[in-house]
Amino acid sequence: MEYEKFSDEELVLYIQQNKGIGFEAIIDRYQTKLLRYVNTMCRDSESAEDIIQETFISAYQNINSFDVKRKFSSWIYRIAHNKAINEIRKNKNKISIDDISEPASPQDSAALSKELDHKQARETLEKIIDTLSERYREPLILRFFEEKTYEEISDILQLPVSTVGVRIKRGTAKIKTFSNLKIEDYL
Amino acid sequence: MKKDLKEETLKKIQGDNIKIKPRWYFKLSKILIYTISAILVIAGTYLFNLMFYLPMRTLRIAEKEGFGEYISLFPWPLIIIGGVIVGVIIYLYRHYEGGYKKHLGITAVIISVLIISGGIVIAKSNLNEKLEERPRLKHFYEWNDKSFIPDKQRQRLYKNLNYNQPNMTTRPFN
Repeated sequence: MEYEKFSDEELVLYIQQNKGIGFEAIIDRYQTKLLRYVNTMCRDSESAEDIIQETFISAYQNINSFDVKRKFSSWIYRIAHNKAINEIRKNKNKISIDDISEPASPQDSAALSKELDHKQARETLEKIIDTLSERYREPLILRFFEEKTYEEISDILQLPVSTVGVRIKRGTAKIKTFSNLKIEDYL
Repeated sequence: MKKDLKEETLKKIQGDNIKIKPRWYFKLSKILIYTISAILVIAGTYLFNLMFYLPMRTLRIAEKEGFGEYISLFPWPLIIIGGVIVGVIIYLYRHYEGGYKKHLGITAVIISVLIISGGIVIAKSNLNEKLEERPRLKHFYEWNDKSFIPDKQRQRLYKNLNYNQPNMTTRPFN
């Protein structure tokens, strides 16, 4: 069966009507994205893999509860998000602020932004975001790493769109206080 | 990736015989949540009605009136129960009906205002008097009066009527 031509929602409808047949296509589509997201949230690749496995199992069991008029990616991200948050709360293994590299001074920030390669920059940004509280961390990861819209973030975090906007704005401002670089400079 | 996530997940689904929950399970859950919400809305509205009605009832029996007297008789402890009910309604609305898209404060204010005003409208109507005509419900109202109207205030008001222990069953309302 060719699942590529299906949109996510069409695929889910097919799975719902065929008692789970085609679910592997959902795993194919989402495992990399969700793994990246949960990895950024938890900073522990082994737990992340377990969380993703649990996410897919939970999505499979509850696939009939999904309303195909809504966006599937928000729904599955929401499951992964809840599981990741539970794991984080269980472990409380937050990275210390000392782990973050020395903040750049305003004078050399321009030079620094050129020196940093993309991967390194992203890692630095991840470390900075890690030190922020959950309320800022979650929307920032979804916005800048997962490239979700405000509407999608609102559905994943179950917050009003306006609150998502405020948190992203404040989180971005907090990041700026670390290094004087704009968040876009890291990405 | 350390392990083949897809393979492992599918193997676990098959190995542990994990089944898709049927549609009726979710429909039933939804019906249950709607039913609980409806019961809570009715209970909340009735409770706020009781809050506003009980002082009016006591004042009417004691043949008194006035806002000061009304406030002194207000059954404040019932507000806690009313608050819990409103809180649960807000939670259910936000959790199951996409209410999270709206600001929590605004949602809380709207739901509270609707339930409280519903309570005021019922308290102002003659529904409570009609209900009290039924013997069982009459006891219920008396029990609420004794349990939630501040004792000192009630005693003071009833004392003026030469009732040491007012017997509501013999006291006419009008």
